[in-house]
Amino acid sequence: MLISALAVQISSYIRPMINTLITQSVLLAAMATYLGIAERNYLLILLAALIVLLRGVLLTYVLAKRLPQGRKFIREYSTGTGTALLSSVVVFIVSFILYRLAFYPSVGHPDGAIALALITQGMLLILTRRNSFAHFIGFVEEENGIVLMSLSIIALPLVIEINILLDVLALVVAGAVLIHEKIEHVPVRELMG
Amino acid sequence: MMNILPPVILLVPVIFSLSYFARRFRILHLLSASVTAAAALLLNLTSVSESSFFLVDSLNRPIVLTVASIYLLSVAFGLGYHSRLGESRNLRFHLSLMDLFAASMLFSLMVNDFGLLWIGVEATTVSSALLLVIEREPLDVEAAWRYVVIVSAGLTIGLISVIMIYFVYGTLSISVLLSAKRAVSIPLEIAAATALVGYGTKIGLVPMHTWLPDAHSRAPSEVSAMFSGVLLPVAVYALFRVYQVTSSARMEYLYLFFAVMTVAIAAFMLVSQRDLKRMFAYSTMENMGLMVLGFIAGGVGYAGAIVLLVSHAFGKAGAFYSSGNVLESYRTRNIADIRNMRENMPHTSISLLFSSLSVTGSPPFGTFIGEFLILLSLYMAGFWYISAIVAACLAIAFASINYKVAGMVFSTSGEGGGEVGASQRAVAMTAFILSAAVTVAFFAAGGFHLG
Repeated sequence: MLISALAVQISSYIRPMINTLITQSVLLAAMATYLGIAERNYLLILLAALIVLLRGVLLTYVLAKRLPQGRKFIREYSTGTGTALLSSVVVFIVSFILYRLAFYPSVGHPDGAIALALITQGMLLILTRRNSFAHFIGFVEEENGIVLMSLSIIALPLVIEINILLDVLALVVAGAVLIHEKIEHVPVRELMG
Repeated sequence: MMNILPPVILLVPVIFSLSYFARRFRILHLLSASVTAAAALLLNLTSVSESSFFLVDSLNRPIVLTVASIYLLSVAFGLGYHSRLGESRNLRFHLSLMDLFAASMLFSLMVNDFGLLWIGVEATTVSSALLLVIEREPLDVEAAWRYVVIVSAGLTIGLISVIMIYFVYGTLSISVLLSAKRAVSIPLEIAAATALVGYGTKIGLVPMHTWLPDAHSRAPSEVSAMFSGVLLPVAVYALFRVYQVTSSARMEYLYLFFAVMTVAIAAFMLVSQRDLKRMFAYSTMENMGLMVLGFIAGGVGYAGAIVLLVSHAFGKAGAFYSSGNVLESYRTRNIADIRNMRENMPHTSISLLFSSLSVTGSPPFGTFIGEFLILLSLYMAGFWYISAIVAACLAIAFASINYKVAGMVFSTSGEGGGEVGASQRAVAMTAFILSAAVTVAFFAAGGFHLG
């Protein structure tokens, strides 16, 4: 999961970012399946299937469909691989320390630290990129972190998990309409102050 | 029997959103909003027994009625404001989304589960994102994008609070948790802090507020009214519900700090505003900060926050409807270019002037009573220094907004395109009159004995 987050962070091509997001969602589903089998909680296996269907297939399909036609490679020039890698590692370390100090003493579950790191990586991606696709990939990564945190600490009721998955999918569909209108986002004078 | 009201309030706008396909779609949307408002009024006049799915109590009843009323006013205003769109698919889609937007807010208010409450608030983003881009101008799209990305990313942090509440209590039922015995613990404090970031982003608390002035200023006026008047208060309601079951002394200070910062930053940003709708957006931030202060301070502040919430909703809706009328007539949102409104737009100048007085907390509007009670509760709780800072900020905000509005209304030179349609003017007038009517309702309900 952490490697996939790092791969998204340093990638400047959009298509590989979407593919990495699929991998991340499949890994999340694999974890839910493993927990479902280990704890004999078959609702978690159902959740895993929904993660693959809604996040791995439908959501990424919506994003991929919005890539401009006729342009095989959509590239965003970010601050550079070195800077992205360094800031990503710093955020990883800060997340782990934060979890160790704030969450771990009372919550336990050390794997929750990976979830928190994934959430902060998603936010970092939104903050550092100007491309609509990168923003949404960061948002979905953040949501994957939340699902992972729920699986690590305490699984939320299935009806809530399903609704969250559907809500995020609906948001991406609504956002896809906006992506169609505008892909790059730069500061605008009229929207300052 | 009256338990049927919550599902009716939710289902009516959802069903009527299908009037996209109907020939008489305008009438049907208006009917939907009217029925919802009537059912919400009935909800306030009758008793509803507790159920596992819905929670209706003295806190959310008046907010449900406010949401339904602003929904009705906004649909009525939008029908006139967008009349040039004729029978277009754009207008049909816009009105259907308004129905779903209202339904998602009402769902968030009445649902009896913290998980579903989060889902409802997130659903308000889904249903309202495309309401901003009815005219598809590049700046509208940019503002909508910022709204979707910033609010969604922030709200996701709020989900950690749901996980933590479930981890501690093993249930997400709001009514069960409100009556449960509470103890201060670190996971609950994490829940309170992450809810502050999550719902605080939607409320527009500093420093997560950056989307707010953009979205409010670029949205069509009836949508701005729904955003400022009721969407943000729904998020305040969600935050307060979480606070009710997670509060601790440390969290009280944290909440108060961010609320005071919001009031202060908004007041100082108001001084330099040149865009009419952007100015009212910052005024909304200031009022949201005040509401959070009132709810956290408790006592008479709690009553003050509810009075402010309801009265501000109507006052701010009136301000945005009037701004929409000004925009239509003058074709500019630049305050310096809007002059001599008293002669060019006599009715709109009255609604703009009184709405501005309402949102800045002038008597006889309910906002004055709300602000007074909040300041008093802070003083009585020992936070006299916060009360003093907030009072100074309110004075700055009052002077900034009313000085600029008075300049637009009473200046003697300047030309505009004349008054707009009668329905738009009537809606703007009704909104600010209802803001004053909140004062009457407050005294009728027991006045200062409420707290």
